[in-house]
Amino acid sequence: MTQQEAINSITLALRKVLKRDGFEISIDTDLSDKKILDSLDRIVFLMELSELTGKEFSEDVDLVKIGLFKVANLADYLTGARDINQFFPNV
Amino acid sequence: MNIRDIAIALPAQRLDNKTIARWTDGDEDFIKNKIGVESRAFLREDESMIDLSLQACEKLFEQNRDLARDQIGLLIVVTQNPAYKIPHSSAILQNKLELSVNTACFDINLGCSGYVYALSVARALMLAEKIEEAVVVTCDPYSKIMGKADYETCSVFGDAATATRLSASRGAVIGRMDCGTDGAGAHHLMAKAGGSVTPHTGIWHANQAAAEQDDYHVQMNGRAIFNFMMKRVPSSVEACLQENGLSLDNIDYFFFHQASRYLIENLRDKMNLPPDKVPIEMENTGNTVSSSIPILIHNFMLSGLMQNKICLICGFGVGLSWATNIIFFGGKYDTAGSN
Repeated sequence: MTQQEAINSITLALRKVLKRDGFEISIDTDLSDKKILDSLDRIVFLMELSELTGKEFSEDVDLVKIGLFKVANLADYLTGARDINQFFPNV
Repeated sequence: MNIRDIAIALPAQRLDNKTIARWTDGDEDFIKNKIGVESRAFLREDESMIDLSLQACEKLFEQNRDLARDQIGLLIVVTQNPAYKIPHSSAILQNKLELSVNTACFDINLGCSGYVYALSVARALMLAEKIEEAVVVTCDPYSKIMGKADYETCSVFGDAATATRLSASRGAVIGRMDCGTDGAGAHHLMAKAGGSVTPHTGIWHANQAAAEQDDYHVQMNGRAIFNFMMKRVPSSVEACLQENGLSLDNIDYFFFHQASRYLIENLRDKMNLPPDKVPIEMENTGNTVSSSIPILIHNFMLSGLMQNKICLICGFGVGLSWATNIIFFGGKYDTAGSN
């Protein structure tokens, strides 16, 4: 999967969760910090993304804390450029 | 073995979202609009699950004047927050309700799937031992094990008790259950301390420092519970329907455990179920664990909506455990002497 394909999947999953268009994301967007997704939406978003890409998201890691909801990081994970344990807490 | 009636009891002390948001630094609107709770009732510090269970049972006797206390052959209490570590809460309740000493009493240690399990357990025991009347009580007051600052749990849960009358002779017919457990996910909804792994006291622990306070509190991984539900519930519903010779179209109402509005809406959409068949009623109670399904059934019975209805009930949560069954209600399904 290329970075662009990953971003396309992220956009599609967002559209499914938010049930609307009109949100703007870039590689620098943090979907959690920007309040595009609340805590419940994040859960469904990851489920949708998992169904779209076949990638699993660990249930034992605080994904907000490690910054996975930043589009760049998420794309890295989806393309296989980085694994979950290569992310670090946003402190 | 059949459901004759249900009574419910809620604590008098109500808490609004403003209070919960202040305790947890949470978002009032989010609790109301996404979780689906406007207020919930919590037991006071000096009240226990016995007090609330007693209220539900006394209401049941008031509603069922034909039911004498010495007729009750079986009392089951579903709880994971008992009055005492020893003895079982059903024994305390048996005494307070002045039931016969010949009443079979035991507790079922299950969470949100507990009511569905208890109906099948009661049904089997009533059949095996020729018991004519039974009462199933649910009461799992999470206010006693939640951390006051924990948004994840305080925003969701509320306290309640229910008492269900089961009769051998008549009432709504209980079908065949599908159930299961995935203990690999047990840690996703857990109160770690207080059991034999981290006991309060004991021969080897008398001088040991107490566990961290948070370990005594229930902790929930909302995402893991959501994923578990989305994975297990649809297949359990399908298996239960098959077991009972029914299809989705035969079901008038799907009474899912009221975990949160958002969760049930997503489940409903995933299963392509019509919204009017999937009631969501937790705005004034919150998630009441094993009491949420009997509260729903009670409200529908009270509104006269259950005549000739086939309902699916499905509980899921702590364990991680799930159970699904069918209840055939009223009119043509109220076959006296069946089963």
